[in-house]
Amino acid sequence: MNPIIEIRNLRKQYRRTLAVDDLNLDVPTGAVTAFLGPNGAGKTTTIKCLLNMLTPDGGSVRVLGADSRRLGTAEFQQIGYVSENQELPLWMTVQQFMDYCRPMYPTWDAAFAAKMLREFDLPPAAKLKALSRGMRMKAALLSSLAYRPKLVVLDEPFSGLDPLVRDEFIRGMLELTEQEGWSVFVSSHDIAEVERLADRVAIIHRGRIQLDEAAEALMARFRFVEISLAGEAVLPVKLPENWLNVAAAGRVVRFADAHYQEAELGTVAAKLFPTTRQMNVTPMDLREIFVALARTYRLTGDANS
Amino acid sequence: MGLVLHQFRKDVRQFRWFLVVWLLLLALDLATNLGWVEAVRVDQQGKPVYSEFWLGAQLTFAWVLFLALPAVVVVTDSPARREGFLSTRPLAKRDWLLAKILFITLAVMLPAIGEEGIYLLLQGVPAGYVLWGMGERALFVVPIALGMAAFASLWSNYARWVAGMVVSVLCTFGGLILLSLLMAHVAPATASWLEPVRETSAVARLSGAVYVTLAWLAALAFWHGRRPGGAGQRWCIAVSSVVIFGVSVGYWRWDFSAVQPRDPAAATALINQSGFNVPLSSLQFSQDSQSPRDGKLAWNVSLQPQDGLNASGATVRWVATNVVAVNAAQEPITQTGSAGRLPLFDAYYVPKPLSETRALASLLPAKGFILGGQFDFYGMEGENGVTLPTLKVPRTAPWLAAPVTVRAGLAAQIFQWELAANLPAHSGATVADAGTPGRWKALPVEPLNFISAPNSPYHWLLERDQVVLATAHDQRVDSSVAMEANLGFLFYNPAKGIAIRLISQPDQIGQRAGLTAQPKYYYSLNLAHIAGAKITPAELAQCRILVFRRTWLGTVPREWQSPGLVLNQVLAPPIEISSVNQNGISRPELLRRLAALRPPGANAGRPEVATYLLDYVRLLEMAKPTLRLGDEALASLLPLVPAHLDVFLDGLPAMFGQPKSMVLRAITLGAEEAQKSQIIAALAQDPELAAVVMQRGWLVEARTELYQLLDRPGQLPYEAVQALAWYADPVTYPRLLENLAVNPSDAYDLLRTLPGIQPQLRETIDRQWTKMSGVADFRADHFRDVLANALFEGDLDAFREFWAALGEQDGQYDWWQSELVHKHVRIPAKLADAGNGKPVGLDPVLAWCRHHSADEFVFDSVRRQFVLKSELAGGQLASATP
Repeated sequence: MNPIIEIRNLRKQYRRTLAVDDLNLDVPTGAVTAFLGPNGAGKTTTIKCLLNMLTPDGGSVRVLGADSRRLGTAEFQQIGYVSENQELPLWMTVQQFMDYCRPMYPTWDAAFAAKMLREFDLPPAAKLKALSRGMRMKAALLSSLAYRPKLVVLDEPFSGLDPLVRDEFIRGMLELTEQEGWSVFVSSHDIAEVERLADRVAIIHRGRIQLDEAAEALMARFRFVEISLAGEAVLPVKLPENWLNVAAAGRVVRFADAHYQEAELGTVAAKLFPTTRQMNVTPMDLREIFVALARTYRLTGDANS
Repeated sequence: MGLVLHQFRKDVRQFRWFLVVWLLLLALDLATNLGWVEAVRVDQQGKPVYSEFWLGAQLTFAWVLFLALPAVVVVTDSPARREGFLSTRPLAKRDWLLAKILFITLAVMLPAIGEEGIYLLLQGVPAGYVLWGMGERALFVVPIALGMAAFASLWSNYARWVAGMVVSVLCTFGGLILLSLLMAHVAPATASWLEPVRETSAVARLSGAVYVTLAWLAALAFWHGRRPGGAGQRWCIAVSSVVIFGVSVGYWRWDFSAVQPRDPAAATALINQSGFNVPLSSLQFSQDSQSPRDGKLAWNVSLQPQDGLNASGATVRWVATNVVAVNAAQEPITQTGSAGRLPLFDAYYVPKPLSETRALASLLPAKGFILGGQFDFYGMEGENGVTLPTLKVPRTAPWLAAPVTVRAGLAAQIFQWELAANLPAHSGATVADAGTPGRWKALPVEPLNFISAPNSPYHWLLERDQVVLATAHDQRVDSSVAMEANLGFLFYNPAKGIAIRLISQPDQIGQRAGLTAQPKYYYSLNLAHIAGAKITPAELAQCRILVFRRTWLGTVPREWQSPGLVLNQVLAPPIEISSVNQNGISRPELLRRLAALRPPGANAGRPEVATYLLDYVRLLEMAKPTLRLGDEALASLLPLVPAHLDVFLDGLPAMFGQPKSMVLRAITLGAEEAQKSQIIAALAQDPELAAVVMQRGWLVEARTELYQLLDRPGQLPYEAVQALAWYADPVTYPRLLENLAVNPSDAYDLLRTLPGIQPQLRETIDRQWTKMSGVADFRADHFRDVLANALFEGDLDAFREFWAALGEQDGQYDWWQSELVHKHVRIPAKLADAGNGKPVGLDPVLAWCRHHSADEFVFDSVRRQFVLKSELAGGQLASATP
């Protein structure tokens, strides 16, 4: 199946700042893709380019098979977009807001919208400006999901939400994506927010994609390794490239193995640390993998080094 | 279409309170214009006022909303927004655009246009004008509303929109200043951009500029839509649009609403019918006292065409379009004049001219006249003279000493006064305007509290509402300054046939309902200073307020050519005349100083004599103007005359006043008989030497030279007229009679005894009186002199007008009327002499005059006085002229 979003050599510059630099990414259909990166990495710029809110300086973006610069009403009727910075018509009530959005979408499901209204516990008569930030995000989400879009694009949707609301939001999204089989492209600077959602992870750093992999595969190849030595730990000069953030503290050496293979690990560890007494290997969750990678990028500046 | 209406409904719901306020303000504006909300009143300074805060605030808010609503409704869903809600929603740009246009049209433009339609309908204006007025409102409203919306579409939020407006306005001013400086550097002849701004009608200029800018903005918005750029592109669009607007305003040339001549054919017929003549005596020559850098002589000619225009209500103003001077060798020098700004626009060009007032007098309902009590019509500049453009000629003999001909292109701007309204002189009266649809109404006025006229009932506030279509009417004609000149108000007393001109000053003209086809104007008029106490309430009930309007009939070109003239003869040396010497030296001091001057010796040369003469003349100028110097002041001068007559003759043209009289007297007494021909020959250079010729008895010998003065352009001095009159030659009579216009009193006394002149004299006096009658101002010497001549000739018309005006003018001028009564009316002996030989004050005489009507008098051609018919015996009736 063709990717629902195809990005090729995307480039966008703001004056002297290169926000997105030769970015390539495919977002698969029917999956939740987490688009991760620190603040200023280029996540929002990428999203705005693919939704034609910004004009790229180079490269191409195709969304739902159409060039992003030519997205029309037909495409937008299949896209749901929620952003932390999106301007909602705050003077409207929740119900007015729904009524305002409905005529734009032929596939608007009123029953579905009513169900989500109940589940999100949104007061229909309340003005949007009277709602909390979390409630407004729910209203925005409702207005973007009620017509069952094929693609849902979420840009930092959890930013500023308290844990309870965030949890509700995530739970709601999980249910819907499982039920509806939507393609979701969600950006965040915190893996913890999207950990439970993501089927695939793409990490952007300084405008470039550093990693683009299925979550399962990622978790399958990353292990956290802890080696206990007989004596004081001394790190060799040359270490395997797949060992990330190697740190020695006392008699213990710790690192993340980005390409874990049991036999190979044992062999290499014994060679480098002949006084190994014990080696513990534990799986890493996505957050730990992300942290390790992020730390590596910050130290090295590039995932390839 | 469904989404268009859906978006429109959203906008209406979102801005419903703005719309409510907007519609309320429109309703308030309508109610104010209709006079339902607030009456106009007159303040203590006589100015019509309504609450300036009220009207100003309401209009300001309405304008703010009118400008802001289209912009706000666009900015709120601006296509320039990156995080705009609609930017990721399936609403096509076309639908968005249509929805905004629908809102602006239905919610902003249509109510504004509809308000004008309702206002005009309620005013009873014919349907055609209602539609035209609405169309003009649309012409103005549509481009501004859409332009504001288009401008707003460039900005993503309100703050940026406001910043964009401010910067654009600043850039406009900055750009225009730079453009002006550049133009001054590149093309100094047409430097200032203010010039076209002043000359073209504001309506045409603004409307045209708005449409040019809208077209420019639309083109750029299309470009922006095709190739959307960043902030730089938006600023480029915004600034360039405003600069385009500013430049268009500055240089717009097509004045589509310019006032058009009403009937050029009628104007031409009037001038052709009345004839065109420039009397020689009306020519005045002057030279520039400042020498031009190129060493040439700068001079000009003023002339007074006699057009004889006698159509009721018609006046003419002459302007010069070009002038050419040609010498004997047919070498021309040309100077172009200006087309002449129509005085319809500017009252200050010729304030309250006499000719305009005469035209009003000719339109009075019955035979009557206007009394010049409030204004000195005769004293004001107003006669239809025209000064030709200045010419510069080389200081060479062919130009200065040989005959030169002047040809001028003139244009007669002809205007027509017509009665617009005839209102009773009390509040509440309403009459339809005799011109375009509209009416005049006299509003009630609270008693004023003027210090000089407390609680004067002679104050009126006239309301005029009239259809004034911007696309068919030059707005400059209705500026408060121009209205003062183009509308004439008379307070008319039909019982006496006397009218008084009421003047409404520009600051006493108010206007309400600005942007409409039927604005309302308010004129505050009062008679507070004039003869108020002499009008009884019963008379006041009969009086009328007459309103006249002036329009431009057409402009007719004419060509004029002068006779040959010698510049050395007609141009007096430039004289720097300082202010009148009121504090001169006394007679003893003058004589002492004159005696102290060291006269030049017997062998003195010309320079010494000239210096002595100069010092002498300067001392005479220092004398008190009231001193009447006798021959004792000439003691030291006389001996010099025979030997140095040439110096005296050469210096004469540069002298004036008493010094010149003294020098002429010195020549008269001191010249030798052998110098007769020299003096006679100098007549051409200075015609005042005719006094010498007369006093020395050389009139026979000087006949040829004196007759040559008949062809001399310009005013002949009285001495020359006296000398020519001596010949009693009918050939001289036409030129001598021209002098009557300049010096009616002395010239009449001189000419009336000439044999055979009577018919021409009578005709001239009749013509003068006919022109003069209708505006009676006894303070003016000229009026009194012409009136006196007419009375001497037994003109019954003049007598009736004089009789009706007796006692009507302010009391301080009774002395002039008293003098005329005693001179031209045979009054009872007991009133004629109070015992000391001096005439009594007018009051007892006035009582006697009022006891008799003008028809009871007949002209006694022997006594040359008007006498009561009842006083004439049967035989004496034969000498009387009915």
